[in-house]
Amino acid sequence: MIFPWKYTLLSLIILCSIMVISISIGPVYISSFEILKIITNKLQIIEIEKSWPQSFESIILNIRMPRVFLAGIVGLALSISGASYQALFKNPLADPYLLGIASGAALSVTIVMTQFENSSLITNFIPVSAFSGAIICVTATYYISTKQHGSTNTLILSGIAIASITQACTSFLMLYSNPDLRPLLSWILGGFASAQWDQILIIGPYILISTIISISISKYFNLIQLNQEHSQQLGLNTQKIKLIIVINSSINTAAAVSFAGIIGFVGLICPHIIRNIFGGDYRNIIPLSGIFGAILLVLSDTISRTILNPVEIPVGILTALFGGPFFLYLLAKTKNQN
Amino acid sequence: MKNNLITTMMFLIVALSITVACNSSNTDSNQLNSNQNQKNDTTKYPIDILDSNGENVRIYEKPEKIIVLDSAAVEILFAIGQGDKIVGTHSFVTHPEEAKQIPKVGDAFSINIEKIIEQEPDLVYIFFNKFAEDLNKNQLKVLYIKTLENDFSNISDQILMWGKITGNQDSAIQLSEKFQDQIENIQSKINYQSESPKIFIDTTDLWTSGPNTLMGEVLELLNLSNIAHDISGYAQLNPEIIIERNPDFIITPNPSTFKNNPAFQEISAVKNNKIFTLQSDALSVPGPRFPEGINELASLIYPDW
Repeated sequence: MIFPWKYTLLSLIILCSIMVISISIGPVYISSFEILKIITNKLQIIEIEKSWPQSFESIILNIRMPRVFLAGIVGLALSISGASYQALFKNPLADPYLLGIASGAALSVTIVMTQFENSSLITNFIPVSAFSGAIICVTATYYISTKQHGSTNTLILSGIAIASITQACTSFLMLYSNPDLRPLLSWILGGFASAQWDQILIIGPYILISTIISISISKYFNLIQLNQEHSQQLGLNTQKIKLIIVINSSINTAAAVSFAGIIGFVGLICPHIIRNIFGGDYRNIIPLSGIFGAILLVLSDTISRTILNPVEIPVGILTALFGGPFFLYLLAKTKNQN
Repeated sequence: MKNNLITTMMFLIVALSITVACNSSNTDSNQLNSNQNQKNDTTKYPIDILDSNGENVRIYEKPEKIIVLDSAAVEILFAIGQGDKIVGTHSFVTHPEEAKQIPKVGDAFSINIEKIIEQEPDLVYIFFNKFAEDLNKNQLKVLYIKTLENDFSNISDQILMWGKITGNQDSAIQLSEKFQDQIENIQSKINYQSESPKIFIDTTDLWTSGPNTLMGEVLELLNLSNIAHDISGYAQLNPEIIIERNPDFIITPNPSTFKNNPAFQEISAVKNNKIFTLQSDALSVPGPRFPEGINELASLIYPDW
């Protein structure tokens, strides 16, 4: 198997340095030396006398670090699912939310937020309901499309139909149940303000496993790009591969959505940027766009929590502001080359 | 587009069923109560009311059917005994209990113009200018007063205004005096010389109110120091800032946001278990119940309130 070790290692190094920088910036100023001491002390590498306030330790270990890591794995998951869907549907406009994941998750979160009185129950229940809403919607989409011979077009169309129905229900519930829509809107816009290690432990395994699966089947993504007859002549069971891609990417996206909300643009744009730089081989695109997605989201989140200090802005706004111009620049560049 | 269509259709169905359910009971109570109120009729019509656009709205005679698209105004009207004049409200009105029976003709985002016309109101009161044009086009008398965003002492002005409009100034003066007494009473119980405890008001998800909001002013009145003192309006506060500013009290609908997050364990409100939830929505409606809300908050902070 050809794997782009060189580029992967290089981009991992970039990702790691960006994560380190992100951990050292924040609205509360803590010097890099102190951060280093706090982390080494926590890892119990060497005994250091504690010379910093306990609040610094909370901020570094329980706010910034989980936040940076959560942003990283969510970026990875969204970007890889985006790339997988683009390969599967041979459509550059496919994004991780194409099969109704976002609208399914949004509907079930809206139901929980507007219909239940007990608010502490709501907070604990949101990730579970987002995840299950997303999975139910994708399953419905897939089931309906297989009834119609399961071509990729019917899959997309039934995805759009399911998304429209769930969106209509969401709008209805939003308009007629709860006067305070701020929390709901802030979940829908996505963000990492309440990131915790527990959340990483819960969604990390899903994202890890489905990332490994995506990378190991990435050579088939190239074969899918051929038309169906050709790929079948090469001995590929396209139906089976498609099913694996749909299930795998859906779980990946649903995990990303469950705590972070719906963060747009990352999954659409990262695979394109990588494709523009490294060409159309999915063995490159899958791992590299995953790492690039992580970089983009970690950067955006760092900006979103520092730029309007002491206020947070939804990270989805920044991914678009940040990724959009870069994407346009790449588009202009490729056109000139042609 | 598709969404809008479906939403509108569903709204129509709901709206129709509410009309059918509410129409009959409402007219009866109107006739019963109007006799009692006549003795308080102290206003000489026509009167001019200054709206939030700075224009005078002239009201020629005592309005008998009012559409009130504002929770605070509904509460004021019921409190001065004029609740029976209300023939339509918006769907977020929760108080008083009787107000729930009134037909709903709109919500925060839209109004149902046909249902409003059907009620043949003498006056339509709105808090959001967007609807004014549509209503004016249909020859309805519109009074637009922005919802109070700050300076809650204006609540008593609004009470007096409603007294004037409905020709019920005696009860309005009584109510507004009661309101001011309650506020003064609260002020008298506070020792403004003592150090003010730090407080964080969480609406949900770390969204909070800055100093130039009604909540910000309530905190000032109660000699509490708002840790979100440098934001304007409403915003989501960064969790690091909450840890650094270390509030002594946290008011939140979801205590678990703070209790279960390891990052917040060093905050003194969490350590001393000073995380509370407000039981009533009085502080979110700038109406006659507002002082009750202030008292509720005060009783959570000051043990011998």
